Amino acid sequence: MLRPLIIALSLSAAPAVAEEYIADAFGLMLPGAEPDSRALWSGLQISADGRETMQQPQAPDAILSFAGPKSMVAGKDEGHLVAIILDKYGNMVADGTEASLRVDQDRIATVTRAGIADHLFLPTPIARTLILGATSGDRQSARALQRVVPDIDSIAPTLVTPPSDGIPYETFFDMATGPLTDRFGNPAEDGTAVQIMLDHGADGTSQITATALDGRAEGRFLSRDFAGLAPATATVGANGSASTATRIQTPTPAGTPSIVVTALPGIAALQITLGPFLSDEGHVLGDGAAVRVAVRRQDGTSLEAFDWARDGYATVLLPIPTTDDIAELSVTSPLGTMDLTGQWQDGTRLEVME
Amino acid sequence: MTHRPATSEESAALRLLLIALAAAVLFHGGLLPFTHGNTYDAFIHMFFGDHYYRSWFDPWEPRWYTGFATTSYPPGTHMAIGALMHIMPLRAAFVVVQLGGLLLLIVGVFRFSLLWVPPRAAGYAAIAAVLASSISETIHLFGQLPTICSLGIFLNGLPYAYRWITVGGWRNLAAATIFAAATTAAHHVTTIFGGALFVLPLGLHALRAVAERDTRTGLGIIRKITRFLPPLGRGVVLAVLMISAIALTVFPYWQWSISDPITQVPIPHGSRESFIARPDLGLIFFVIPWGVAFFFLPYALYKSATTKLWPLGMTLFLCVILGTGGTTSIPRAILHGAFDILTLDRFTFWASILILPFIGLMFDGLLHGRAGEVVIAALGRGFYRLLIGGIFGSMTLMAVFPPLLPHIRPTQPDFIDPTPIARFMAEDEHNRWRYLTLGFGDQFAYLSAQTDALSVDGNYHSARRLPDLTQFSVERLENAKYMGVPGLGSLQQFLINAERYNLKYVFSNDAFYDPLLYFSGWTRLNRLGNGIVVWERPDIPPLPLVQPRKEMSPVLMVMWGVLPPFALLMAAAIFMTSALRRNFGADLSEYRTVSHRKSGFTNPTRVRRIVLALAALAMIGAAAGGWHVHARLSAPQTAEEVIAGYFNDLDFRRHESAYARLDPETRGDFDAIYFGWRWTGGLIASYGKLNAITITQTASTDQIADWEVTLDWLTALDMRREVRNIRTVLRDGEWYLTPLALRPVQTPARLQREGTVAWNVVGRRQPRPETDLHRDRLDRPRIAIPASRLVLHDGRYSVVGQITNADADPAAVTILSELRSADAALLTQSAGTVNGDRLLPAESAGFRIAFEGVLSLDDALARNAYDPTLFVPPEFASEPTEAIVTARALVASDGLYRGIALNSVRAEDTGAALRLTGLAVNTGTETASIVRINVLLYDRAGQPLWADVGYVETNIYPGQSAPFAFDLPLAAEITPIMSIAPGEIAVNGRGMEGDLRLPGAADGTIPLPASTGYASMRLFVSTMTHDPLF
Repeated sequence: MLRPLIIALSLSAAPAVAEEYIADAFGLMLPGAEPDSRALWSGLQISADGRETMQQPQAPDAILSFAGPKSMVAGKDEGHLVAIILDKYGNMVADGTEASLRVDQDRIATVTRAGIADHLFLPTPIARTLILGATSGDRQSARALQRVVPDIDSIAPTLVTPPSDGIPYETFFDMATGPLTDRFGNPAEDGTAVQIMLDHGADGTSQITATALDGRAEGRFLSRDFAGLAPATATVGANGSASTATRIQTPTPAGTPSIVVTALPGIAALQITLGPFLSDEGHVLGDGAAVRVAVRRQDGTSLEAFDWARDGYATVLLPIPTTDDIAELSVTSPLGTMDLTGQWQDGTRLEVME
Repeated sequence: MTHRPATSEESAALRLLLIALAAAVLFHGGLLPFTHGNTYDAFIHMFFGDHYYRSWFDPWEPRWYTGFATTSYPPGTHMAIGALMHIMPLRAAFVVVQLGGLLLLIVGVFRFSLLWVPPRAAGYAAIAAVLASSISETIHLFGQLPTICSLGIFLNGLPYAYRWITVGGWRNLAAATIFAAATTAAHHVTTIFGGALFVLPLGLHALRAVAERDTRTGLGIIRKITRFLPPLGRGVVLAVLMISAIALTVFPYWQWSISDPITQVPIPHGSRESFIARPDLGLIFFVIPWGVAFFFLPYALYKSATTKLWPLGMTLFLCVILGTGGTTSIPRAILHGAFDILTLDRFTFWASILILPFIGLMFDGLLHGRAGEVVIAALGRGFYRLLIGGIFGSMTLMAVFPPLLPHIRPTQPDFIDPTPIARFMAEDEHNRWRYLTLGFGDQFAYLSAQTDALSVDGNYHSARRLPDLTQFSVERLENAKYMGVPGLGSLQQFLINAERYNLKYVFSNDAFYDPLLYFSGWTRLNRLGNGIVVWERPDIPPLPLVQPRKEMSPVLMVMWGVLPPFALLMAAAIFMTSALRRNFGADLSEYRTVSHRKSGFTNPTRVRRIVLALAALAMIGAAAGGWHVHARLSAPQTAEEVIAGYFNDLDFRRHESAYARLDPETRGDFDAIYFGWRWTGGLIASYGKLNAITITQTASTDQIADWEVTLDWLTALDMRREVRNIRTVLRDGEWYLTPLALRPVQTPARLQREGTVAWNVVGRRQPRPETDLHRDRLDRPRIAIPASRLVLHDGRYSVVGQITNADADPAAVTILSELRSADAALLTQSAGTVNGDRLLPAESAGFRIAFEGVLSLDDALARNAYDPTLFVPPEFASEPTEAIVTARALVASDGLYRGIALNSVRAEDTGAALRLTGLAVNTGTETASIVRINVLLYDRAGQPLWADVGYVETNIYPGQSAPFAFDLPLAAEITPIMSIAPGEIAVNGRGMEGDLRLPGAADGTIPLPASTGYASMRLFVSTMTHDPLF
């Protein structure tokens, strides 16, 4: 039943129309739709009347050069220079077209294949910028730049030994590395990170990330809240330096600070000013040095207050109504911990203002 | 219908209408050009208008939410703007359409009132509409264009509906249907609710008119009932046609509603709150829209009870009740589930329209009728003038208040010129990526209308499609910070996983987001001419050339482009014909008297006594209320209130007010205190928002009390808690805070110099028009992931690892991980703020990719406004067993400040956590706004086990220092699931290079106590160096 219906439908259908297309290297095209530019494309072309012609590319007209990678690790990476050579219609030039590739000072003569000339090369392991280019016929490519960079993996840092008499307290000081060079003697690139660490033992570790500049790196620390011996190390990637003995000076007190107490009955508090913090360095404790005041009250409870030294003095506010309420008083500063309880109790160098 | 010459009252009514129209043009038309920019919705409607200007028939709008269909909103008013944009700029087109809608509304009020009250009263109703604070608020504060236009159209169509029911006539039926269609074209909700709230009472009114017109006498009960059958039948026909018009005019909208139902968490709306608990919302959604009209409610109640206006009165009072929102439980009981979807201020708005005929009637009575005579006779002409002037004056004041409110209490940021942003997106092919704005308020929509660039965000929440948006109750990413942690969580999803959305540019008008942007790998590019800061995320793939869109049938597209404007044009033609023909479109012969009181006014003394007694009562009440308010305002604050007020003042930078809360005897001068506040910046002080204060008393005497104050700060990165001990003192009955010790640390150096390295990546900014040439490109830096692991901590899956820059150039790193089960990929996520996103050559850092899901719609948590500890576990079809890692990098040139040294870093096992403490010292020369310390913890096998970050809470000027302390989980809390093999790690699109010598757990690390379960840790410090905010 279905078959006659299909046959009837097929017979009644309009005749199918087959259009002529040209098939060549560039795909399908209607015979009448041939654009002028298409005739200039190289390769096998079939015209509307079925004539086959092989259109040859013209002489080199433009050269595009590509070089990579952007930076080659000295002694490890190969570079690759690729030149694409085109004729004036954008066709790849014919195979075997002569080309000359420039890599740094070298000129490499070669021929194209599929319109491309290329050269793989291992540069000498000297960190520098290479200049590359390509020439074919009377045409040249734009200049390409490529870097040879130091082999970071082989940079073994060293630290410059700091002054033997130690680093003063509460000052900036630089931990400097020796020359940072790779196995070929190339200096580290500017900006290479160098991790510098000071080991204070039980008092923790200090660290900073220094950046290489002109083949060396300097990490700046502030000698605040640490003192004494601190072996230093520097690390670049997986390579660490030997430990370098470093000493941060510990100032010695040249007397005990006096205490000025201002009672603030309105708020039931005491304002305690301590100082001057005299040292054997010939000056008072530097500005910014941390000062901690610890108090034990008559009822056994403890209080702490913090300040920073300014002009040799530190001031703290304690929520204690009267001076009698303080049983013990101590102060900790870079000069060490001083027990001021006796001074507090016998009134020596103690001034109370209402 | 008979026509007769207009009576003097009818002429007076028309004059009043013309006065009202002129006043509307002068008052609202004069204000509109200056007020629409401060409204909530105006820019959204402009954006839609711009859409139809650009593409009338294609409803697909790609610029918001990765694309949405504009069939999700009726197009009438927007098409009007789009059409006008061919002859005028966008904003002018909006103003013209809004003003046109308002004039329609005034005429509509007149014509609607005319169906209920005499002509002159209808004229006064039109004048009252001009001065209605609800209309003023809707136009000048809310910017609700479709509401105004649709109601204007709807009210103008009601006389035809009334005539059709009462006397029939196919022309009336056709006109009523066309007006219903036109109303729907502007705003479908008005037609739907208008049908219930306006047409139903009008139908009852019409039936009564039918009865009154029937002059036959002696009818039996059957005949009395059956005479209503024809009008009832006509009413049914009208209802059917109106429903058909609603369905057909915006058919694509209904189809969208069915095929793309709104499956979202309801957006909280202030109109559903209790106005007693939230007086600020009560002001916006009840007090202002009602204004003086609220005092006429007793009159409306009286007239409803005593005259034929009762159907109108019943609807009015229903709207009054529904408009009270969550103040009482009645609206919820009436509306049930719809309560959580509807915005209930709409009912207040409709109530304020429904009361206008009553107000008109009252004015008519006062100025021309018996009420005026009573007042004059009882209280004298002076009082009478005072009364009339007082009502008029107070209505005017209330109408002026909404336009002024944004200047008194700004709700939007200052105007942002969109031109530099639009130009930026058009230049250098920036529009190949999506963008996001932060801190723009509703001006985001205006910006969107100025550019063809696409945004992941949008300002029309019904059209949101991305799960990350629809499943949080965040209306916009743009205002994420106002939604607390859920909002910021939603924003973080987008900023961290920017690649997923092709999101490359952020335009920020709010520095609050800077820390999140910076530490999730965004780079601050520059500040545009309008003050907006541009952020860029490197290495984001551009949008595909062909983007997915939801296809729609061409028939529906043609329907959408033709039917709504056709309905509007037809309604306009009917309106204009009617208006030009006779009495400004009103058929004055239809008016019906309200009541006929035959008895005269005979007892002025009694009225005077009653009025005076009421006035006395009102004065006593006002005095009592005033005294109560004064007593509340002037009562001394408790110590807790003073403490809370102090920190709130600091949060809002009200420094003088905060200073006033300090003990006047010990606080010192203002400059000294202010200096301390200005000096301290950083994550909390500069970028934090105070979220909660908990105050606990620790000791007290009569005069002094000590408190432990816990401050919870919301920052763009996380919640931070600060605990302070505060003392308060009582002086002369007032509590004060004692001064808080604050003394910035000094730098030991007066002059610092150092040599630094800087980079310049030329990138796309070249002196040539081409922007996408290969010579712009640099190869990707060589990076490596020496080790990484899938771990489980606290029920959360994470991938932790070490990232190392093995290149000679700095690297901006992007790391992603895909979580897998045995047979399927489960979830892909990017590394967020726990990341070494900018690495110098030879530098290493830890990273952690925490897998997190989005809230389920069924999750009760989603409906809560706020939960700082909210973590949403991702939903997996099967248990994750493995992961792969992908990383890639570009050459970086900024964000590489390394001037922060960490002094005396100590790691201590507290028993519950690994506590890290130390002192961060800025030994460089730039100001460190926020310092992030990245910690990578290795186990005893030298494998990474956990990575986390901590922040230094204050900014650090050069040479100065700040302590830091934060906790990390102990190793025992971490369960390693699998180590990710090097073959499962792809770097820069290929496998890792095998010949690299990479640092391990022993290189440049700090040993840790054995009790922590870890062997060592690697610290990596990165710093945001933008100028701190004060």
